[in-house]
Amino acid sequence: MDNDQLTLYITKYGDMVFRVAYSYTKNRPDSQDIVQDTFLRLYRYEKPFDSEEHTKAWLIRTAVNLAKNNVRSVWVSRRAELDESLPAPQHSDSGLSAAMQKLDKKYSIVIYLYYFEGYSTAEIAKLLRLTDSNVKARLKRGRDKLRGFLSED
Amino acid sequence: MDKINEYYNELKLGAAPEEMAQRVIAADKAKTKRFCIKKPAIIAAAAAVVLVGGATAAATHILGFNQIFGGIFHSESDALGEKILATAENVQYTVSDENYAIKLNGVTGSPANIILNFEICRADGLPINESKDTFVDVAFLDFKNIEAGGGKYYYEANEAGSIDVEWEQRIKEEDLINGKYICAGPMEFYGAANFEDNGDINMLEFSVSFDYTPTEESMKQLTVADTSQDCIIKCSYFNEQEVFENECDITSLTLTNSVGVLEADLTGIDGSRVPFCNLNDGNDIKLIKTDGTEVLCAFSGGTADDIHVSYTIHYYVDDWYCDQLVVDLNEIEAISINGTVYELS
Repeated sequence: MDNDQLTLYITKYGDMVFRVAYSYTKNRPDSQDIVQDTFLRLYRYEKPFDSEEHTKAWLIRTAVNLAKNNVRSVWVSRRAELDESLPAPQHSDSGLSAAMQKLDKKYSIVIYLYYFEGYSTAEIAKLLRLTDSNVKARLKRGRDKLRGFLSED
Repeated sequence: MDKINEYYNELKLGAAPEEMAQRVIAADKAKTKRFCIKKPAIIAAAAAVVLVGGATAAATHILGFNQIFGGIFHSESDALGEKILATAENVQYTVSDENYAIKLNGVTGSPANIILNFEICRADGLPINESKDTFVDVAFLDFKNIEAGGGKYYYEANEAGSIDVEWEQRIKEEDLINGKYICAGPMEFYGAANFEDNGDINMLEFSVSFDYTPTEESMKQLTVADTSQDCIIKCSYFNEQEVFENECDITSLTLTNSVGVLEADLTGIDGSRVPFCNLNDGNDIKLIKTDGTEVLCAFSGGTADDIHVSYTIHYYVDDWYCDQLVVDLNEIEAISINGTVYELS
Protein backbone atom coordinates (compact mmCIF):
# COMPACT_ATOMS: atom_id res chain seq x y z
CA MET A 1 0.00 0.00 0.00
CA ASP A 2 1.41 3.39 -0.85
CA ASN A 3 1.02 6.75 0.85
CA ASP A 4 -1.78 7.87 -1.45
CA GLN A 5 -3.84 4.76 -0.91
CA LEU A 6 -3.38 4.98 2.84
CA THR A 7 -4.40 8.64 2.81
CA LEU A 8 -7.47 7.72 0.81
CA TYR A 9 -8.50 5.11 3.35
CA ILE A 10 -7.96 7.52 6.22
CA THR A 11 -9.97 10.19 4.43
CA LYS A 12 -12.79 7.76 3.92
CA TYR A 13 -12.75 5.92 7.22
CA GLY A 14 -10.68 7.97 9.66
CA ASP A 15 -13.65 9.60 11.36
CA MET A 16 -15.48 6.28 11.54
CA VAL A 17 -12.54 4.55 13.22
CA PHE A 18 -12.20 7.50 15.59
CA ARG A 19 -15.86 7.26 16.57
CA VAL A 20 -15.56 3.52 17.18
CA ALA A 21 -12.53 4.12 19.38
CA TYR A 22 -14.19 7.02 21.16
CA SER A 23 -17.18 4.83 21.99
CA TYR A 24 -14.80 2.83 24.18
CA THR A 25 -12.25 5.29 25.42
CA LYS A 26 -14.35 8.45 25.75
CA ASN A 27 -11.21 10.51 25.27
CA ARG A 28 -9.48 12.00 22.29
CA PRO A 29 -5.80 11.11 22.85
CA ASP A 30 -6.42 7.39 23.33
CA SER A 31 -8.86 7.39 20.44
CA GLN A 32 -6.32 8.99 18.12
CA ASP A 33 -3.73 6.42 19.16
CA ILE A 34 -6.17 3.69 18.31
CA VAL A 35 -6.85 5.29 14.93
CA GLN A 36 -3.12 5.33 14.23
CA ASP A 37 -2.73 1.71 15.31
CA THR A 38 -5.70 0.62 13.26
CA PHE A 39 -4.42 2.18 10.08
CA LEU A 40 -0.92 0.92 10.81
CA ARG A 41 -2.37 -2.57 10.79
CA LEU A 42 -4.21 -1.79 7.59
CA TYR A 43 -1.00 -0.50 6.08
CA ARG A 44 0.71 -3.77 6.91
CA TYR A 45 -2.19 -5.99 5.96
CA GLU A 46 -1.26 -7.98 2.90
CA LYS A 47 -4.42 -9.85 2.01
CA PRO A 48 -6.78 -8.19 -0.47
CA PHE A 49 -10.24 -7.19 0.64
CA ASP A 50 -13.25 -8.49 -1.24
CA SER A 51 -15.09 -5.18 -1.24
CA GLU A 52 -15.38 -1.79 0.40
CA GLU A 53 -17.79 -3.28 2.89
CA HIS A 54 -15.21 -5.91 3.76
CA THR A 55 -12.60 -3.21 4.30
CA LYS A 56 -14.94 -1.20 6.46
CA ALA A 57 -15.88 -4.21 8.57
CA TRP A 58 -12.20 -5.12 8.99
CA LEU A 59 -11.41 -1.60 10.18
CA ILE A 60 -14.29 -1.64 12.66
CA ARG A 61 -13.31 -5.02 14.09
CA THR A 62 -9.67 -4.02 14.38
CA ALA A 63 -10.53 -0.72 16.04
CA VAL A 64 -12.88 -2.48 18.47
CA ASN A 65 -10.18 -4.96 19.44
CA LEU A 66 -7.57 -2.27 19.91
CA ALA A 67 -10.00 -0.15 21.88
CA LYS A 68 -10.90 -3.06 24.13
CA ASN A 69 -7.23 -3.70 24.81
CA ASN A 70 -6.73 -0.05 25.61
CA VAL A 71 -9.63 0.11 28.00
CA ARG A 72 -8.96 -3.25 29.62
CA SER A 73 -5.32 -2.73 30.27
CA VAL A 74 -4.75 -1.20 33.66
CA TRP A 75 -1.09 -1.39 32.91
CA VAL A 76 -1.37 1.39 30.37
CA SER A 77 -0.01 3.61 33.05
CA ARG A 78 0.66 6.63 30.99
CA ARG A 79 -1.73 8.28 28.64
CA ALA A 80 -0.57 10.56 25.90
CA GLU A 81 -0.31 14.05 27.20
CA LEU A 82 -3.37 15.95 26.20
CA ASP A 83 -2.37 17.81 23.11
CA GLU A 84 -3.29 21.36 24.00
CA SER A 85 -3.50 22.24 20.33
CA LEU A 86 -6.34 19.78 19.88
CA PRO A 87 -9.63 21.08 21.12
CA ALA A 88 -11.86 18.78 23.06
CA PRO A 89 -14.81 17.58 20.99
CA GLN A 90 -17.30 20.41 20.90
CA HIS A 91 -20.93 19.50 20.54
CA SER A 92 -23.83 21.76 19.89
CA ASP A 93 -26.01 19.74 22.29
CA SER A 94 -24.04 19.66 25.52
CA GLY A 95 -26.76 17.67 27.26
CA LEU A 96 -26.64 14.85 24.74
CA SER A 97 -22.87 15.02 24.69
CA ALA A 98 -22.72 14.58 28.45
CA ALA A 99 -25.21 11.74 28.26
CA MET A 100 -23.22 9.98 25.52
CA GLN A 101 -20.07 10.41 27.60
CA LYS A 102 -21.77 8.65 30.48
CA LEU A 103 -23.10 5.85 28.35
CA ASP A 104 -21.22 2.61 28.82
CA LYS A 105 -19.08 1.50 25.90
CA LYS A 106 -21.10 -1.65 25.32
CA TYR A 107 -24.14 0.48 24.55
CA SER A 108 -22.47 3.40 22.81
CA ILE A 109 -20.80 1.21 20.21
CA VAL A 110 -24.03 -0.53 19.15
CA ILE A 111 -25.89 2.77 19.09
CA TYR A 112 -23.18 4.25 16.87
CA LEU A 113 -23.10 1.31 14.48
CA TYR A 114 -26.89 1.01 14.27
CA TYR A 115 -28.03 4.61 14.07
CA PHE A 116 -25.11 6.33 12.46
CA GLU A 117 -23.44 3.68 10.32
CA GLY A 118 -26.75 2.01 9.47
CA TYR A 119 -25.75 -1.58 10.24
CA SER A 120 -28.46 -4.09 11.00
CA THR A 121 -28.48 -5.86 14.34
CA ALA A 122 -27.34 -9.03 12.60
CA GLU A 123 -24.41 -7.21 11.02
CA ILE A 124 -23.48 -5.59 14.33
CA ALA A 125 -23.63 -8.98 16.00
CA LYS A 126 -21.11 -10.30 13.52
CA LEU A 127 -18.84 -7.29 13.87
CA LEU A 128 -18.80 -7.39 17.65
CA ARG A 129 -19.02 -11.18 18.02
CA LEU A 130 -22.29 -10.99 19.87
CA THR A 131 -25.63 -12.64 19.29
CA ASP A 132 -28.36 -10.77 17.50
CA SER A 133 -30.48 -10.79 20.65
CA ASN A 134 -27.60 -9.32 22.65
CA VAL A 135 -27.30 -6.48 20.19
CA LYS A 136 -31.01 -5.79 20.34
CA ALA A 137 -30.95 -5.88 24.11
CA ARG A 138 -28.00 -3.48 24.23
CA LEU A 139 -29.70 -1.13 21.78
CA LYS A 140 -32.78 -1.02 23.91
CA ARG A 141 -30.87 -0.58 27.15
CA GLY A 142 -28.63 2.02 25.59
CA ARG A 143 -31.63 4.04 24.45
CA ASP A 144 -33.28 3.69 27.85
CA LYS A 145 -30.14 4.81 29.61
CA LEU A 146 -29.73 7.78 27.32
CA ARG A 147 -33.31 8.82 27.99
CA GLY A 148 -32.65 8.47 31.68
CA PHE A 149 -29.49 10.57 31.54
CA LEU A 150 -31.21 13.24 29.48
CA SER A 151 -34.19 13.42 31.78
CA GLU A 152 -31.88 13.96 34.76
CA ASP A 153 -30.84 17.33 33.28
CA MET B 1 -32.29 9.91 16.64
CA ASP B 2 -31.42 12.98 14.57
CA LYS B 3 -29.59 14.29 17.58
CA ILE B 4 -27.53 11.12 17.72
CA ASN B 5 -26.50 11.65 14.11
CA GLU B 6 -25.69 15.25 14.86
CA TYR B 7 -23.56 14.17 17.82
CA TYR B 8 -21.54 11.77 15.70
CA ASN B 9 -21.24 14.18 12.82
CA GLU B 10 -19.52 16.54 15.20
CA LEU B 11 -17.23 13.82 16.56
CA LYS B 12 -14.29 13.78 14.20
CA LEU B 13 -10.72 12.57 14.14
CA GLY B 14 -9.32 16.08 14.35
CA ALA B 15 -6.24 15.37 12.29
CA ALA B 16 -5.79 15.79 8.56
CA PRO B 17 -5.70 12.46 6.71
CA GLU B 18 -2.32 13.31 5.18
CA GLU B 19 -0.88 14.00 8.62
CA MET B 20 -2.30 10.76 10.05
CA ALA B 21 -0.96 8.83 7.05
CA GLN B 22 2.50 10.24 7.66
CA ARG B 23 2.31 9.24 11.31
CA VAL B 24 1.30 5.72 10.33
CA ILE B 25 4.09 5.36 7.81
CA ALA B 26 6.64 6.83 10.20
CA ALA B 27 5.49 4.40 12.87
CA ASP B 28 5.88 1.54 10.49
CA LYS B 29 9.39 2.50 9.38
CA ALA B 30 10.76 3.40 12.79
CA LYS B 31 9.51 0.36 14.64
CA THR B 32 9.95 -2.53 12.31
CA LYS B 33 12.71 -4.99 12.54
CA ARG B 34 11.79 -8.07 10.65
CA PHE B 35 13.45 -11.36 10.99
CA CYS B 36 13.29 -14.60 9.21
CA ILE B 37 13.17 -17.97 10.75
CA LYS B 38 16.20 -20.10 10.39
CA LYS B 39 15.63 -23.68 11.27
CA PRO B 40 14.36 -24.35 14.74
CA ALA B 41 17.19 -25.21 17.04
CA ILE B 42 16.92 -28.49 18.85
CA ILE B 43 15.76 -28.26 22.41
CA ALA B 44 19.12 -29.28 23.83
CA ALA B 45 20.80 -26.47 22.00
CA ALA B 46 18.15 -24.07 23.23
CA ALA B 47 18.75 -25.21 26.77
CA ALA B 48 22.44 -24.49 26.35
CA VAL B 49 21.59 -20.99 25.18
CA VAL B 50 19.28 -20.15 28.00
CA LEU B 51 21.61 -21.36 30.69
CA VAL B 52 24.42 -19.05 29.65
CA GLY B 53 24.72 -16.08 31.87
CA GLY B 54 22.96 -17.70 34.80
CA ALA B 55 19.52 -16.47 33.91
CA THR B 56 17.78 -18.77 36.33
CA ALA B 57 16.36 -15.97 38.37
CA ALA B 58 14.33 -14.67 35.46
CA ALA B 59 13.41 -18.17 34.36
CA THR B 60 11.65 -19.16 37.55
CA HIS B 61 8.95 -16.54 37.63
CA ILE B 62 5.49 -17.22 36.37
CA LEU B 63 2.62 -14.94 35.53
CA GLY B 64 1.73 -13.26 38.79
CA PHE B 65 -1.91 -12.47 38.19
CA ASN B 66 -2.73 -15.94 37.00
CA GLN B 67 -1.24 -17.45 40.09
CA ILE B 68 -2.73 -14.97 42.46
CA PHE B 69 -6.20 -15.67 41.30
CA GLY B 70 -5.58 -19.37 41.02
CA GLY B 71 -7.08 -19.72 37.60
CA ILE B 72 -6.02 -21.51 34.51
CA PHE B 73 -6.82 -19.44 31.52
CA HIS B 74 -9.23 -20.94 29.12
CA SER B 75 -12.20 -19.89 27.13
CA GLU B 76 -15.60 -21.50 27.10
CA SER B 77 -16.65 -19.79 23.95
CA ASP B 78 -15.37 -17.38 21.39
CA ALA B 79 -17.33 -14.44 22.70
CA LEU B 80 -16.51 -15.24 26.28
CA GLY B 81 -12.89 -15.68 25.44
CA GLU B 82 -12.56 -12.05 24.65
CA LYS B 83 -13.34 -11.14 28.20
CA ILE B 84 -12.67 -14.08 30.38
CA LEU B 85 -9.18 -15.00 31.12
CA ALA B 86 -9.40 -17.28 34.06
CA THR B 87 -11.73 -19.64 35.81
CA ALA B 88 -11.60 -19.97 39.53
CA GLU B 89 -11.51 -23.33 41.22
CA ASN B 90 -13.70 -25.01 43.82
CA VAL B 91 -16.55 -22.64 43.21
CA GLN B 92 -19.36 -22.93 45.73
CA TYR B 93 -22.51 -20.92 46.03
CA THR B 94 -25.60 -20.55 48.16
CA VAL B 95 -28.95 -19.18 47.06
CA SER B 96 -32.07 -18.21 48.93
CA ASP B 97 -34.21 -19.97 46.32
CA GLU B 98 -33.17 -23.46 45.28
CA ASN B 99 -34.75 -22.95 41.88
CA TYR B 100 -31.76 -20.81 41.01
CA ALA B 101 -28.05 -21.35 40.65
CA ILE B 102 -24.97 -19.22 40.21
CA LYS B 103 -22.35 -20.14 37.69
CA LEU B 104 -18.98 -18.44 37.92
CA ASN B 105 -17.55 -18.13 34.44
CA GLY B 106 -14.38 -16.25 35.03
CA VAL B 107 -12.13 -14.10 37.07
CA THR B 108 -9.92 -11.62 35.41
CA GLY B 109 -8.77 -8.06 35.71
CA SER B 110 -5.50 -6.93 37.12
CA PRO B 111 -3.74 -7.19 40.44
CA ALA B 112 -5.72 -4.24 41.74
CA ASN B 113 -8.92 -4.57 39.82
CA ILE B 114 -11.09 -7.67 39.81
CA ILE B 115 -13.50 -8.45 37.03
CA LEU B 116 -15.92 -11.26 37.72
CA ASN B 117 -18.16 -12.87 35.15
CA PHE B 118 -20.97 -14.99 36.46
CA GLU B 119 -24.43 -16.17 35.50
CA ILE B 120 -27.68 -16.19 37.39
CA CYS B 121 -29.57 -19.14 36.02
CA ARG B 122 -32.29 -21.59 36.86
CA ALA B 123 -31.18 -24.81 38.46
CA ASP B 124 -33.29 -26.80 36.00
CA GLY B 125 -31.63 -25.08 33.06
CA LEU B 126 -34.78 -23.47 31.75
CA PRO B 127 -34.71 -19.89 30.53
CA ILE B 128 -35.50 -17.66 33.46
CA ASN B 129 -38.32 -15.75 31.88
CA GLU B 130 -40.10 -18.93 30.86
CA SER B 131 -40.68 -19.68 34.49
CA LYS B 132 -43.23 -17.81 36.56
CA ASP B 133 -40.57 -15.30 37.58
CA THR B 134 -39.45 -12.39 35.47
CA PHE B 135 -35.97 -11.09 36.04
CA VAL B 136 -35.94 -7.42 36.97
CA ASP B 137 -32.43 -6.41 37.93
CA VAL B 138 -29.33 -7.16 39.97
CA ALA B 139 -29.88 -5.29 43.21
CA PHE B 140 -26.36 -5.20 44.61
CA LEU B 141 -23.03 -6.94 44.69
CA ASP B 142 -20.31 -6.80 47.29
CA PHE B 143 -17.33 -8.73 48.56
CA LYS B 144 -17.33 -10.40 51.93
CA ASN B 145 -13.62 -10.41 52.53
CA ILE B 146 -12.19 -7.70 50.32
CA GLU B 147 -12.16 -4.00 50.90
CA ALA B 148 -13.38 -2.73 47.60
CA GLY B 149 -13.19 0.70 46.09
CA GLY B 150 -15.20 1.93 43.16
CA GLY B 151 -16.93 -0.63 41.02
CA LYS B 152 -19.61 -1.17 38.44
CA TYR B 153 -21.57 -4.09 37.09
CA TYR B 154 -23.59 -4.86 34.01
CA TYR B 155 -26.08 -7.56 33.33
CA GLU B 156 -28.04 -8.83 30.41
CA ALA B 157 -29.92 -11.89 29.32
CA ASN B 158 -27.95 -14.37 27.30
CA GLU B 159 -29.10 -16.77 24.64
CA ALA B 160 -29.88 -19.47 27.15
CA GLY B 161 -32.20 -17.15 29.01
CA SER B 162 -29.87 -16.78 31.98
CA ILE B 163 -28.49 -13.51 33.19
CA ASP B 164 -24.86 -12.72 32.45
CA VAL B 165 -23.29 -10.39 34.97
CA GLU B 166 -19.99 -8.65 34.54
CA TRP B 167 -18.69 -6.98 37.69
CA GLU B 168 -15.58 -4.86 37.78
CA GLN B 169 -14.29 -3.84 41.17
CA ARG B 170 -11.27 -1.89 42.23
CA ILE B 171 -9.46 -3.19 45.29
CA LYS B 172 -8.72 -0.60 47.94
CA GLU B 173 -5.12 0.29 48.32
CA GLU B 174 -4.95 -0.82 51.91
CA ASP B 175 -5.61 -4.36 50.75
CA LEU B 176 -2.89 -4.24 48.19
CA ILE B 177 0.62 -5.35 48.90
CA ASN B 178 2.99 -3.65 46.56
CA GLY B 179 0.23 -3.10 44.09
CA LYS B 180 -1.19 -6.61 44.23
CA TYR B 181 -4.07 -8.15 46.11
CA ILE B 182 -3.16 -11.25 48.05
CA CYS B 183 -5.83 -13.14 49.91
CA ALA B 184 -4.97 -16.14 51.99
CA GLY B 185 -8.38 -17.79 51.76
CA PRO B 186 -11.34 -18.10 49.43
CA MET B 187 -12.58 -15.06 47.66
CA GLU B 188 -16.23 -14.52 48.57
CA PHE B 189 -18.86 -12.24 47.19
CA TYR B 190 -22.58 -11.91 47.67
CA GLY B 191 -25.46 -10.12 46.10
CA ALA B 192 -29.11 -10.14 45.23
CA ALA B 193 -31.28 -10.09 42.16
CA ASN B 194 -34.91 -9.04 41.93
CA PHE B 195 -37.55 -11.10 40.23
CA GLU B 196 -41.17 -10.23 39.64
CA ASP B 197 -44.06 -12.64 40.04
CA ASN B 198 -47.46 -11.16 39.26
CA GLY B 199 -46.46 -7.77 40.50
CA ASP B 200 -44.68 -9.01 43.61
CA ILE B 201 -40.94 -8.46 43.76
CA ASN B 202 -39.01 -11.38 45.15
CA MET B 203 -35.36 -11.04 45.98
CA LEU B 204 -32.94 -13.84 45.26
CA GLU B 205 -29.97 -13.62 47.57
CA PHE B 206 -26.80 -15.46 46.69
CA SER B 207 -23.24 -15.83 47.80
CA VAL B 208 -20.30 -17.31 45.97
CA SER B 209 -16.89 -18.41 47.08
CA PHE B 210 -14.00 -19.81 45.17
CA ASP B 211 -10.54 -20.88 46.07
CA TYR B 212 -7.32 -19.46 45.04
CA THR B 213 -4.04 -19.89 46.74
CA PRO B 214 -1.01 -17.80 46.03
CA THR B 215 1.72 -20.05 44.84
CA GLU B 216 5.16 -19.78 46.24
CA GLU B 217 6.24 -18.20 43.00
CA SER B 218 3.55 -15.56 43.10
CA MET B 219 4.33 -14.75 46.69
CA LYS B 220 7.79 -13.96 45.52
CA GLN B 221 6.27 -11.49 43.17
CA LEU B 222 5.34 -8.94 45.76
CA THR B 223 6.75 -6.36 43.52
CA VAL B 224 6.29 -2.81 42.58
CA ALA B 225 5.17 -2.18 39.07
CA ASP B 226 7.99 -0.69 37.11
CA THR B 227 6.55 2.44 35.63
CA SER B 228 9.85 3.84 34.49
CA GLN B 229 9.73 2.09 31.16
CA ASP B 230 7.57 3.19 28.33
CA CYS B 231 7.17 0.17 26.20
CA ILE B 232 4.56 -2.51 26.17
CA ILE B 233 4.97 -5.80 24.47
CA LYS B 234 2.14 -7.43 22.65
CA CYS B 235 1.93 -10.77 21.04
CA SER B 236 -0.34 -11.76 18.22
CA TYR B 237 -0.70 -15.02 16.49
CA PHE B 238 -2.76 -16.35 13.71
CA ASN B 239 -5.17 -19.18 14.24
CA GLU B 240 -6.26 -20.76 11.02
CA GLN B 241 -9.23 -22.37 12.62
CA GLU B 242 -10.59 -19.00 13.66
CA VAL B 243 -11.77 -20.57 16.85
CA PHE B 244 -10.64 -19.58 20.26
CA GLU B 245 -9.31 -22.81 21.69
CA ASN B 246 -7.04 -23.67 24.52
CA GLU B 247 -4.17 -24.34 22.23
CA CYS B 248 -3.62 -23.50 18.66
CA ASP B 249 -0.98 -23.81 16.05
CA ILE B 250 0.87 -20.63 15.50
CA THR B 251 1.55 -19.61 11.97
CA SER B 252 2.79 -16.16 12.73
CA LEU B 253 4.03 -14.35 15.75
CA THR B 254 4.51 -10.67 16.32
CA LEU B 255 6.08 -9.04 19.30
CA THR B 256 5.82 -5.31 19.48
CA ASN B 257 7.00 -2.58 21.76
CA SER B 258 7.94 1.00 21.35
CA VAL B 259 11.42 0.01 20.33
CA GLY B 260 10.52 -2.22 17.50
CA VAL B 261 8.54 -5.07 16.07
CA LEU B 262 9.66 -8.63 15.68
CA GLU B 263 7.67 -10.68 13.24
CA ALA B 264 7.98 -14.27 12.33
CA ASP B 265 6.26 -16.35 9.74
CA LEU B 266 5.99 -19.75 11.33
CA THR B 267 4.04 -21.33 8.49
CA GLY B 268 5.04 -24.91 8.15
CA ILE B 269 6.69 -25.06 11.52
CA ASP B 270 5.17 -28.03 13.26
CA GLY B 271 4.73 -28.31 16.95
CA SER B 272 4.46 -24.58 17.54
CA ARG B 273 1.83 -24.75 20.14
CA VAL B 274 1.26 -22.15 22.73
CA PRO B 275 -1.49 -22.35 25.27
CA PHE B 276 -3.52 -19.25 25.54
CA CYS B 277 -2.38 -18.06 28.84
CA ASN B 278 -1.32 -20.84 31.13
CA LEU B 279 2.37 -20.53 31.46
CA ASN B 280 4.58 -22.69 33.56
CA ASP B 281 8.13 -23.79 33.24
CA GLY B 282 8.50 -25.64 30.00
CA ASN B 283 5.33 -24.17 28.62
CA ASP B 284 6.17 -20.63 27.87
CA ILE B 285 7.53 -17.94 25.67
CA LYS B 286 11.00 -16.61 26.24
CA LEU B 287 13.00 -13.97 24.53
CA ILE B 288 16.66 -14.84 24.30
CA LYS B 289 19.07 -11.96 24.35
CA THR B 290 22.34 -11.77 22.48
CA ASP B 291 24.23 -12.26 25.74
CA GLY B 292 22.37 -15.51 26.29
CA THR B 293 20.20 -14.32 29.13
CA GLU B 294 16.61 -15.31 29.07
CA VAL B 295 13.57 -13.15 29.45
CA LEU B 296 10.51 -15.00 30.58
CA CYS B 297 7.27 -13.59 29.37
CA ALA B 298 3.70 -14.32 30.27
CA PHE B 299 0.41 -13.62 28.65
CA SER B 300 -2.45 -11.68 29.98
CA GLY B 301 -5.45 -10.10 28.45
CA GLY B 302 -6.67 -11.16 25.12
CA THR B 303 -8.98 -10.13 22.39
CA ALA B 304 -9.93 -12.07 19.37
CA ASP B 305 -11.37 -11.37 16.04
CA ASP B 306 -11.92 -13.92 13.39
CA ILE B 307 -8.29 -13.93 12.36
CA HIS B 308 -5.96 -12.80 15.05
CA VAL B 309 -5.75 -13.26 18.73
CA SER B 310 -3.77 -10.65 20.58
CA TYR B 311 -2.36 -10.70 24.04
CA THR B 312 -0.19 -8.52 26.14
CA ILE B 313 3.02 -10.10 27.27
CA HIS B 314 4.49 -9.16 30.60
CA TYR B 315 8.05 -9.52 31.47
CA TYR B 316 9.65 -10.48 34.76
CA VAL B 317 13.15 -9.81 35.89
CA ASP B 318 14.15 -11.22 39.24
CA ASP B 319 11.63 -9.90 41.73
CA TRP B 320 10.47 -7.06 39.63
CA TYR B 321 7.14 -7.32 37.94
CA CYS B 322 7.28 -5.27 34.81
CA ASP B 323 4.30 -4.66 32.70
CA GLN B 324 6.53 -3.29 30.09
CA LEU B 325 9.49 -4.71 28.36
CA VAL B 326 12.71 -3.24 29.62
CA VAL B 327 14.94 -4.93 27.13
CA ASP B 328 15.60 -3.39 23.79
CA LEU B 329 14.13 -5.65 21.18
CA ASN B 330 17.25 -5.05 19.15
CA GLU B 331 19.05 -7.13 21.76
CA ILE B 332 16.85 -10.12 21.12
CA GLU B 333 18.40 -12.82 19.01
CA ALA B 334 15.76 -15.55 19.30
CA ILE B 335 12.34 -16.46 20.58
CA SER B 336 11.74 -19.69 22.39
CA ILE B 337 8.23 -21.10 22.33
CA ASN B 338 7.67 -24.16 24.45
CA GLY B 339 11.28 -25.10 24.14
CA THR B 340 11.58 -24.60 20.43
CA VAL B 341 13.87 -21.74 19.56
CA TYR B 342 13.35 -19.58 16.55
CA GLU B 343 16.46 -17.63 15.78
CA LEU B 344 16.70 -14.14 14.51
CA SER B 345 18.57 -13.71 11.28
